[in-house]
Amino acid sequence: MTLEQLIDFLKSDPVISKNITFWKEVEPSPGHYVDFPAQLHPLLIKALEHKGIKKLYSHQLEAFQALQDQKNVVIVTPTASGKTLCYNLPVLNTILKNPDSRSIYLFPTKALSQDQLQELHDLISFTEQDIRTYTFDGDTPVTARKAIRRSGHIVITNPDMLHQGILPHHTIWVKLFENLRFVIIDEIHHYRGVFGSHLANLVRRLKRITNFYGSSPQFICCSATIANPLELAEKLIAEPLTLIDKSGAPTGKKHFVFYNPPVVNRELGIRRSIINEISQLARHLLAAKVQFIVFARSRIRVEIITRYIKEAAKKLHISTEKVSGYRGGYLPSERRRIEQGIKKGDILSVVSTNALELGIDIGQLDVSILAGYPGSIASAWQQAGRAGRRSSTSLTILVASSSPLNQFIVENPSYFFGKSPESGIIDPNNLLILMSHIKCAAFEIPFQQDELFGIEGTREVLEYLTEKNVLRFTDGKYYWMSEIFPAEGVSLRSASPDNVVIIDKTRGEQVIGEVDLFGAQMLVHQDAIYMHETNQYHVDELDWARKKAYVKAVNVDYFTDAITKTNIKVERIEEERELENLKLVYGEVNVNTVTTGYKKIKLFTHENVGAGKVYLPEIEMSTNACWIEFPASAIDNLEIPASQLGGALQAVANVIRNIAPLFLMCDPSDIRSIPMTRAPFSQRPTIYIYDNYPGGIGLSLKLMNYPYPLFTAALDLVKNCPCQSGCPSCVGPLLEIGEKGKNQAGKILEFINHYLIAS
Amino acid sequence: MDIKSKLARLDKSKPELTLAPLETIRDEDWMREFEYELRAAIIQEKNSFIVIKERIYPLQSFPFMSDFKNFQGIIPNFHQLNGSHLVENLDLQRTLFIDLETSGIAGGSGTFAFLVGLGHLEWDHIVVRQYLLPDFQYEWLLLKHVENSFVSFNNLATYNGKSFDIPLLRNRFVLNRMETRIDQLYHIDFLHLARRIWKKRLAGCDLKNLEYVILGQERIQDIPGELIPQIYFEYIRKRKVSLLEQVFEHNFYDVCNMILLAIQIGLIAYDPFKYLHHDEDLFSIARYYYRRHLYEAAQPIFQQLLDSTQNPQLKVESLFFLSMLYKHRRQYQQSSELFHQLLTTQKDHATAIEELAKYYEHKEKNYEAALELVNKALEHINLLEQLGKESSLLAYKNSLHHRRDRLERRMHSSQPHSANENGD
Repeated sequence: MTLEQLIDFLKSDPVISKNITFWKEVEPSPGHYVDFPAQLHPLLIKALEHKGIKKLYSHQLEAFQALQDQKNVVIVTPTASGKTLCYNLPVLNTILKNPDSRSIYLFPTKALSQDQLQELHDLISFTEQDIRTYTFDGDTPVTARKAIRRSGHIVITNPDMLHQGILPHHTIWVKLFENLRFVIIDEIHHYRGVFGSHLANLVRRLKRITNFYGSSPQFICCSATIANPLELAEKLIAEPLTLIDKSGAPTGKKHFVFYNPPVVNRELGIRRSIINEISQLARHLLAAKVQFIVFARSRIRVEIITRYIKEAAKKLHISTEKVSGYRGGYLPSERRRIEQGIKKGDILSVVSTNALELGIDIGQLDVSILAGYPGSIASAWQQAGRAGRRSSTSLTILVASSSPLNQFIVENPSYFFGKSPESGIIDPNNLLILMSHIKCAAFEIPFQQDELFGIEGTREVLEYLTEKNVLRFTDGKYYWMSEIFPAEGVSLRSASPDNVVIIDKTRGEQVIGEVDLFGAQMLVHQDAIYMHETNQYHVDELDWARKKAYVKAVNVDYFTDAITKTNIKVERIEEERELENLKLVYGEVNVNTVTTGYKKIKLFTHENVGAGKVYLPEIEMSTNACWIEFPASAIDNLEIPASQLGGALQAVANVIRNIAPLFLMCDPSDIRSIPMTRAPFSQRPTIYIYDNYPGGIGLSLKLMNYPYPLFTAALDLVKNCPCQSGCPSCVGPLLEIGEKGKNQAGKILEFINHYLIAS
Repeated sequence: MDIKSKLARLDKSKPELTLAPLETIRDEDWMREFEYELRAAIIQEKNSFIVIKERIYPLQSFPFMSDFKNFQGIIPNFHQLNGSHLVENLDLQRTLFIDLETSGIAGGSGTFAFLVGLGHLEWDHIVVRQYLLPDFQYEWLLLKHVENSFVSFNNLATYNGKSFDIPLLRNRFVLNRMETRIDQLYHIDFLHLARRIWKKRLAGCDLKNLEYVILGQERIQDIPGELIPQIYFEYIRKRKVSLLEQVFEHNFYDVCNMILLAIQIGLIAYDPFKYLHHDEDLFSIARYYYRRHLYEAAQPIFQQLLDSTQNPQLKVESLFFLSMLYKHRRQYQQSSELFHQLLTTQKDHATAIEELAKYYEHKEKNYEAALELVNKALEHINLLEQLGKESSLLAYKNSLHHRRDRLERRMHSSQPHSANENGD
């Protein structure tokens, strides 16, 4: 069966087609090819021709020329459109013309660095020149480091290594920093929220150092499709960039299908399991002999789905060798073997975590199945991009889970296929993040009195640190005056400096993660079930004084949900918008939280199967919030009885928190929403939405400035959800919001939307 | 917006001490303090100044002074223990000793040296010059004087300078955008040499420990090194020069003791028999030579230990190394005899069994002797296992079995051949 025939079959088969909520066809487009630019070094042309590349795609040339014009670029093109050549060409071309020049490649993960190294080596070997490319990360042997520092033309690394291993030691990287021509920051859509805010500060530090050594590198950023690639890149590097977003690569016809498993319990909003549906679909794909990839959201899922597909293969008398899993945790050699198997076509079906979503080269497959919405539209498109050899047809099937985000996406395809609503939001000037990097920067090179580190208030931060005796001000400069190596205390990927370390005591003692104080109260309180990489752990003890949580691996059929009391005190109002019947406010708040107990909730059915008490001290956090205040009259007009108001507001808060990640491109844990029937500050019903990070990272500010998309989407989700009176897929379970909760929440959301638009 | 007060609210990290700003004393008074409190001198240039203190340490009481004088300051035969042929002899007159007091031990570009102690030998005494950084902005002047000191020397010597002092100093030159010839001087890190001699016998080879055990000196009222950065920071804040007295003292003795130790190490390198009185130390040196393939230097030491040491463990080990040494020099006959001797003292010496079996099998082609040896060893293993005793030999069980199987095959395949010979 050809892929086209398979597509016809899926469309017409009554069992399958009734679950398809949307079928999108993207027409093929021919490639735009252009000749090599005249400035390209003959050796590089030779190397490209060796690889069978005779022409460039138009966007590759566009990037090359913008860089020739000394501009910075941000490149947004789909998977498999020759993105890496956009930066490899100018970098190698520059090295060939000036062998002293140096470049840094920054990838969010180590695995990507390895793959990039391979690809570069490949191209370099055909130039037959001595161009040295190294990865530099935690795995780099100490003995090799000296050579890399001295003679590496291209240093491939990650933000953490740049932060702790390179910038604070810049004096031994003189060659690199004196001759730095390009800094490549790939996958910038990963740098959002806290991580992105840190990265922007890392770039500030990098630029201080290159400035010190008299070089000023150009930046090349690459991003998956998000709403604001240019804005995000500009915030990251604090310089203007040229946006290149018209791909010249040819694409075949693409079919994008949304598949929503049938409802089995309408009341609870429970649908048939993804795994079950995928094994059904896989059977048809195997029979049709098309090559396909399944993206699962966790390592355990990968193993389960692989097993199911292998069983399906057996029944069809297809060798189970042709079905393979792929995930972190497999040995590198094993992974290379699987990658080769996919490339050569020996493997018909591969099930993977998002490990294969990113730049690893496995060639293109026919079909890509997403076992659940991967958390962001950008990721979804990257996973979809794994299917589709150039200029041939491809198919992507998104199989939805019952989570609110999944349900929202499959029921509202226009959000997905319209202009991407996801914005990468960062706040490089979050004071805590800023201060931690100003410390690192002062350690690296003393600050001049009037020097700016990104913002006008730099001087005040420097003065603050001087008062704390971390810096010394003398003769017009701020010097680092401490024995401490400041980069060590700053983790780029996690929140506050005061984290709780999670220690697995199953076998010996092993640190498996850390979590910030607020998270700790909710996730690792005594007797909590803590989930880590889909493994379950029981928290034996939370040692609050020492900031340690001791856990043991378990296998139970419930999860725990912390009961948390939150108080919000408004510190100052920064912006207020008085609408008719509604008030939208943005400002600084003080959030007091304490976890007092927890509920045990059965997996899948979400039954309440027990509870417990927790004794922990109250913690507080200063952050930014956006909130909506309702005048009492408004609630009366909506005819919501006082007894139902709490549930209704809770329902609205739930739905907002559930889909906010879609618009703010943040982790669900980055944002919180708290309803109050009578807020102490305003004495009115209020819903607070705040950044779950001290000092805020710009999420609630974004909501203040662009509230409409979120509230419209929230209303859509509530309206389109087939459940009767609330389910975990939309406003939350009935137990939490009350019988009328969903209905009333709909009214409130309609009310909000009405007055937001009216203004 | 008031950033400072917002920071104060957000910053919940460990409270770094906020101290009230101090009334700092006037520059003239401050500078006079160095002369008064530390008996040091001021060097001024272009609105900057640093502090220098020079002191002499006479060597009259140094026990090896007369030997040292015989060499006129140049100790021959240094390269073997130094592990490099770049410097044949230790020319102490041309060697500048460096010890830094720093703002911390973390490394990186934010760690700096505030006191640079430079020492060198002048005939019968040590001259120590200590350069102090009175405040951050004068670092360029400090480095300039350190750099100028390099000019009259060929070697730099440190204690742990390979990984600490020298890279740190190099960083400071880079940060101040100053050229330096620091890398043109040959660098000897005496910590590495000391370890080659004393690591086996002594718990630690840090300078503190060696000056006590080897030089027989004890410091009175010395400040612990880890307090030094804080003392300097406190001095900086208060401009209280007297605080530094003990840091100068500490650094002075570091430099002097490093030099005394260096002389002694040089003499040991020249003639270990004369200057070492512990068999373990001799053994350490011999082992180092052996590992560097300096068999000629190693052999007489192992031989002497074998002949005269009272320490049975060292005797066995020397015997072992000596056997290995002969093997490496292709003197298989001597080697096998020594291995044999070794096995009479230590029945379960696994390597000796292996080596001897190899010798019988490959050199002498005496499979029977080899097999007998291997069988004996396997019997011994059997016995050990029954008694439940620990032995390093147990780990060799598999490889010994392999060897036995192979030997048996070889004997079988060579038997018909020998039968033929007999038949002839």
